[in-house]
Amino acid sequence: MQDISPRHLRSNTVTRLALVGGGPAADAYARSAHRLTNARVSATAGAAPTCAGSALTVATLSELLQSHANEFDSVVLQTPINQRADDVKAIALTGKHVLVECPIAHSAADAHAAIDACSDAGVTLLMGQMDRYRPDTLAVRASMSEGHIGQPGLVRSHRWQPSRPHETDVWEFSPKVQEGIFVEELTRDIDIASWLFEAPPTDVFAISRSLGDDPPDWAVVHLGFSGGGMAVLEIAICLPQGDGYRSLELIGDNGAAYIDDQYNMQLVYSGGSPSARLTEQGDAAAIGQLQAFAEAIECGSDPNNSARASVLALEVAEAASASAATGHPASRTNERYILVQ
Amino acid sequence: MRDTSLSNSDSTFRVAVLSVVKHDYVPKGLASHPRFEPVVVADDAIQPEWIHERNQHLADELSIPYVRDVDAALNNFGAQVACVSPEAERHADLSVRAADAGLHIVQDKPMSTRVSECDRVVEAVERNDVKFMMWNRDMLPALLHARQELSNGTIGLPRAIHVDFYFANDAGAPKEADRRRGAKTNWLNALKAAHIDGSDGGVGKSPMGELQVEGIYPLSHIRLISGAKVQRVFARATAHFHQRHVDNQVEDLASVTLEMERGIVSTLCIGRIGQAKHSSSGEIKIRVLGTMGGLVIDEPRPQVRVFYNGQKRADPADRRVGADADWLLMENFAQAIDTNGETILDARSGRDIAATVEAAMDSARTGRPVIVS
Repeated sequence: MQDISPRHLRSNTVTRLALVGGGPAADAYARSAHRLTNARVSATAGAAPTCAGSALTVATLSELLQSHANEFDSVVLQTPINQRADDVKAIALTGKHVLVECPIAHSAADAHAAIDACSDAGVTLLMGQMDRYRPDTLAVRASMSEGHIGQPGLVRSHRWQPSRPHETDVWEFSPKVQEGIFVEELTRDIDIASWLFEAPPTDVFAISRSLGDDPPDWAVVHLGFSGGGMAVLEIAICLPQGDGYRSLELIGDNGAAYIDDQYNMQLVYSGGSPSARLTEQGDAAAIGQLQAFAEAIECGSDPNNSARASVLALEVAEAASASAATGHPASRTNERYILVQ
Repeated sequence: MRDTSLSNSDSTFRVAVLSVVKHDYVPKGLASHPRFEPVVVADDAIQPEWIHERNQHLADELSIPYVRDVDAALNNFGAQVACVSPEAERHADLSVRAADAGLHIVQDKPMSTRVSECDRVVEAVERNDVKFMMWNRDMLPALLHARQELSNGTIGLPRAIHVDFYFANDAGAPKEADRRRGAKTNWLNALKAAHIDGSDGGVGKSPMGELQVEGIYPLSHIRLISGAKVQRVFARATAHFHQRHVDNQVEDLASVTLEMERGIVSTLCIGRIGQAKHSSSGEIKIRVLGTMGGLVIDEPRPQVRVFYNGQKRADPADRRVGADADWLLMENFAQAIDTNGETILDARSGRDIAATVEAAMDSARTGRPVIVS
């Protein structure tokens, strides 16, 4: 496990972050800014929420880059998926480091291009993947690092979320995009599975469904890993409005770990049947993610490895989308996924 | 069919227990209902002595005779019901013989090690017009709760059903890193030895993986909740934990994606994962995503937790309580006889589940999706 504690920051250099865009993590990032070590938010742009201590607020990323380049060192990008790759390339051209949410682009090819742009510019590109920094996920990963889990055999995850209105300008999931459920949503879960197995999946089989005539709002991906490992990942964007549900199981040859919202429910009695309410885990994931970014900039501790992980997740998501469309599984051959007829 | 005109709500069914090679929970579960009275234990004389010893043990426990002649037991004790629980490869044959003798049948899992044998049971049950029920867990309180929520329309119609079915039991020695070890584990001998802790569900000459041994339980849950048949499966399977499974080339961990009628999709993750992997007997969970919401159900609930100094693994902290599952299963069976209705898991359904398991095993071998026939 990557140690993200501030003691790894070697100097007193303070990284100045610019929060750009209003994606799902933006509020948590803004809330967490004052809790960072050797990093602070100095600017916000786009739909980013107001952040205490930020002296500069501008309307757009381009305005920020063109007119205020001296006000920040790095960008925490929370823009819609279909513009992320272009945004990353534009930021890299100004010599700024970038933290961009997973998936870092709308296709593996675009992600490659974004990574190349950052490499050419000599800047750090870190994939934002809050699921890796959740306290529960970190506890599981720590158990792995300590050898308690052993060789993973099975990862199973479920993520159910409320449906999102088609009419609104959705930030992340585009219900009108056929492959959206895989590329825009399941990449996060695919990344977690590959991260836990520490290897790319060798086999991909997927199914997707829709409640109506629209493109899919539900999918399951069944992955195979070398040595017989396997993963079953489900995503659903079709719950009624309200809380979502998440679970993650990891079963290894030496131990097992279980994350499940069901374990963390509290009962509320207010007449009739009681309701179950989830006790949340706070902002630790956002703090951990931003702190890792600051460390990556200062220490070079993540030379684009996480961005390459995002490329892999996108490749698997694209294979899953093709599998769902054709009914055939895909196998990894020569670092590419090929449908098996 | 044997005359069951006495089968009104007051009548008692006389039960012939045909072989009790593995766990005895099926005949004891059957006897938990006052309308079912075991009257004889029987097996074929040609069976080896260890089988006779186990049969005799149950007969002594129930204070009923043990007869080394199945046909005599079927014909001379006035039995109306057969309880079939030998090694898996003999399940179908004993059930067919019981059906041909006009007895209704309660059978332990798996239905058979081969789908062709399941077909033989279906044919015999239907030709003799007798009732048949595969033993199952569908009457556990949590399952009844899930079905109640679904019938109330709480989450709308089921779209996706996911079952975790992990038994946190050891199955002999852990898998060894050194593949150059000596003699392979003999399946039958190992399972005979496992009788002492009840983990001998796969006892028989043919090695069986977890899908084959236990798959009927979660697959029956999925069938019951969905009301849909499985059409195509994709599966992965491996021997990840135990040397016994490695040596005999059967899986102790598997995952299956099931494409079902009406567009329903289900998944099953199943494994005999070893006792260190869970604080209790294992995670058994059902998740149902419906058109209007979702359910997350823990199969072992309700339960109590009991802890004390010196507590041993054999006396687990988590204890299921309030379960009438055995009685409810047998009540379902009795009503099927009384009313000429269907049992909760009849021969055709059991056969379909066996076909699903077989297709999943084919898929795991080939890496391709397989149509369930």
